[in-house]
Amino acid sequence: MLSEYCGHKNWSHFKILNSQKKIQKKNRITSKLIIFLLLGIVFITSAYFLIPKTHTFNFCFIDQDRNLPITKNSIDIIILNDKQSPFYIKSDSLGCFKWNTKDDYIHFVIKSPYHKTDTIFRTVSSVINENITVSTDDYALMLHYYANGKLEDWKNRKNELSKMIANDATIFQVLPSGLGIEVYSKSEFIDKLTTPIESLRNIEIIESKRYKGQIVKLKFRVKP
Amino acid sequence: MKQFAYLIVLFLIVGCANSANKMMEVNKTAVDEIYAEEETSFAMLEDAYSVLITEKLQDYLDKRILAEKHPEFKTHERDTKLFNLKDVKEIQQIQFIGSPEILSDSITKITTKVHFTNTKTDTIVSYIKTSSTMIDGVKFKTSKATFERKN
Repeated sequence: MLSEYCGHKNWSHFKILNSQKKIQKKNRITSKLIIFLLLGIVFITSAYFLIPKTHTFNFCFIDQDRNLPITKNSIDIIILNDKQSPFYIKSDSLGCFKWNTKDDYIHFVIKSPYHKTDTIFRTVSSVINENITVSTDDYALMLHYYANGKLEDWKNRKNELSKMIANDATIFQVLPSGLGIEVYSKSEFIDKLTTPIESLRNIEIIESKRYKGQIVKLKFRVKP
Repeated sequence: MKQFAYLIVLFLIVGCANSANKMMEVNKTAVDEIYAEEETSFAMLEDAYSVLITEKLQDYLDKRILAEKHPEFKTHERDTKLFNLKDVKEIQQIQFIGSPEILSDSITKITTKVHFTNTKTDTIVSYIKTSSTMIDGVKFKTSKATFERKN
């Protein structure tokens, strides 16, 4: 009766028509949800790519000779990402440093009183936790020992070099063109590396080979 | 299918042949370098002698000055006195007196006038001893400069 009162033929007619409306409503809601969902995904994806991410680079500095972290003297690090104003920091007590940047690279210079200056450039795609091997500045170190009368440290360095270099190591200096090479004995070379004279400052290691942790071949030249 | 297999075998043979050539080229270059050293012109060799003698004499001077200042730091260096002069620290240039004299196949004698930055000069006899050595299967020419005081 009520369905007839509402303008329908009978109760079943009323039921069919109303259930179709509900299905239509449901369909509309579902399609709206899908659109919102898709828009959300597009928004989140674009935000992910457009908003610059912060990258954390971790580096630790390892002494090439000792194969241990450089902790005795902190290393000065000059971050060059912003060329207008370089940022100066120091390595921590563990010989490491951490740098957060929105750039996808890090460009920095390392300086230490007794290690050779080096420039490092790394991108996010490469490893961001890295041990950087730093070579000793023998001239600066020896000058420091001589100037401050650190005879024991100097002897220790000699012993350290003696352990680093194999007894039968092939050590040679590349001479000016036409003269070939000059072969050094282990003790001669250790003397050269522990005497702070001009030629030590100008030594350039061309090639070195290690076997079981010891240097077995070392080729160097003295820059004029 | 057979043709395909033949093609693969052919490519492998050609590929291996190429890399063998390259290896031979590398060895050839290494050998050439050694012989090239022997073929260096006399003028170039004189320049090389000059660079070597200057470097070693300056090393000698630097070591002597250092040993005088810090006698506690003793090295294996022999205590030889090469220069007659005192207060000489830095070599400005060296000059050969006459042509290098070939004493034997392995020894060349060069009488050298040494000019110091403080305008003083001295004369030294330099000996360049050459020989050859094998390193990693490659023959290298070796040279060593020794010095003698000119009396």
